[in-house]
Amino acid sequence: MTLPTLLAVYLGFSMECLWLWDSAGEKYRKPDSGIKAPGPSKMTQIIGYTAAIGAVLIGAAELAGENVVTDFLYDILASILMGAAMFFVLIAGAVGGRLLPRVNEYHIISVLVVVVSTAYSSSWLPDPAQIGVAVGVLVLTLALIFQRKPPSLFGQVLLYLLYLAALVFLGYQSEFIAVLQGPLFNIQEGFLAGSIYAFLSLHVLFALRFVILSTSFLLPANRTYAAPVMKNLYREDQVKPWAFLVILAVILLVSLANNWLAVLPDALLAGVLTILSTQLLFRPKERDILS
Amino acid sequence: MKEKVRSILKWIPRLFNVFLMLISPMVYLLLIVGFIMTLDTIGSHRRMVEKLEEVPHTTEAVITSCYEDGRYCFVEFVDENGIERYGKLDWIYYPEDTTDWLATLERDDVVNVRYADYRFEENVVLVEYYARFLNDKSHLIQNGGIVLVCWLILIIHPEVLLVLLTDNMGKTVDIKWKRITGQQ
Repeated sequence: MTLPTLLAVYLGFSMECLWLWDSAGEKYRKPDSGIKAPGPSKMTQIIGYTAAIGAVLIGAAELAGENVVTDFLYDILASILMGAAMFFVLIAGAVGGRLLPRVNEYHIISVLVVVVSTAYSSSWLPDPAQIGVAVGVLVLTLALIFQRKPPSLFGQVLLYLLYLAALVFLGYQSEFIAVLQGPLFNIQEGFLAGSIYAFLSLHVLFALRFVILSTSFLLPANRTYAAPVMKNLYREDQVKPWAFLVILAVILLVSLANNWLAVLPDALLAGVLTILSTQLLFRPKERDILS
Repeated sequence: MKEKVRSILKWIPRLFNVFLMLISPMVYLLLIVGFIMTLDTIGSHRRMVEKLEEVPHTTEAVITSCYEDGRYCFVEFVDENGIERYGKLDWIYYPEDTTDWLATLERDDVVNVRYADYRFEENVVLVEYYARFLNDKSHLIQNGGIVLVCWLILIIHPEVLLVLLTDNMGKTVDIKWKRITGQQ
């Protein structure tokens, strides 16, 4: 890995964390500030500045090329940035809670579809298991589309566990750590790998916390904690079923097209689609929520 | 007198409950450390197996020193390229009678070991116990036990896991605290 790629990885990492922070703001945002044209928020400005500074640094490192100074900087920055990122993820995943995006049934299905399609394209699962998992995801998808009522609290906890399990599985089966250490990165792939690294590691660490929490709900005394926890992790508003099916079809098509054209490594595409599914797609317009 | 004893007996489980609640933040920290250590040991065991499986090299190695407290020996051997190498023979993979025998070994005693082709993998394994080493789970039991105990304590008192995850944590936890201390 070269210095520009290293910087791109951690720019991707920072941008993803800032995006998660910004998305999580909706949990705390007041519906109407009273200002008619408020302009870009402070968070948007910070994201813009980070992107600009990161791009300038990557450009400068690219122009400098490989020499004694950039090699020295790479050696120093690689360990400092890795240490800082791991410490941040440890705190944010094991103690914090704000960065986790709120998800619903549609997000979870889309993540499952991405994970299953990646497992298929890399032939990771043996044949009978592939059919079983595919049928399971299909049945779950249909059940959640045609349901009349939103899932109960218990159902939400189970679905969220399934979502975290899918993310842990994605990280494991795509051997993401090995991908991250791969020597074949260019700047764009480095940026994507950095953002996926932030998203997956945060969720994998949170999975440990949530598994313990959900097992603690088995004791009646702890069940009072379930509702306030799920309120910050699960969103009840969602897009219309037809919109969901269209977006899901697009995700599947992109996944198949990449499998055929090999534009991006499978692990990177699966990560990007997962981030887009949870943070960008399937978000109802604000007017729909308010109405 | 009976009443006093009864009230003291009633307070023992309560005090134990309060104690568990108070130590739960430390337990959570221990669980995270234990979990990371478990993952690390699984990873290093897998890497070691991969390296040893690449090419089946076996040789006679000479003991240079053994440490009963640390439960390992250092050995010296010549690899297939004629290069003199050093290796570490960890005792955790072997049954009790074998570790007793390993403890009796002295400098210049000879053992049959399997070693990796990769020069930076210094761990070697006794040839006769190689199959046992491949299926060894002792590295899991070592840290997994701590993780399991911590998990059980956190199932009883998961309050520390709610930090920054709920909007009004104080109020939520207060209800349980009052119930434990008998105020409700």
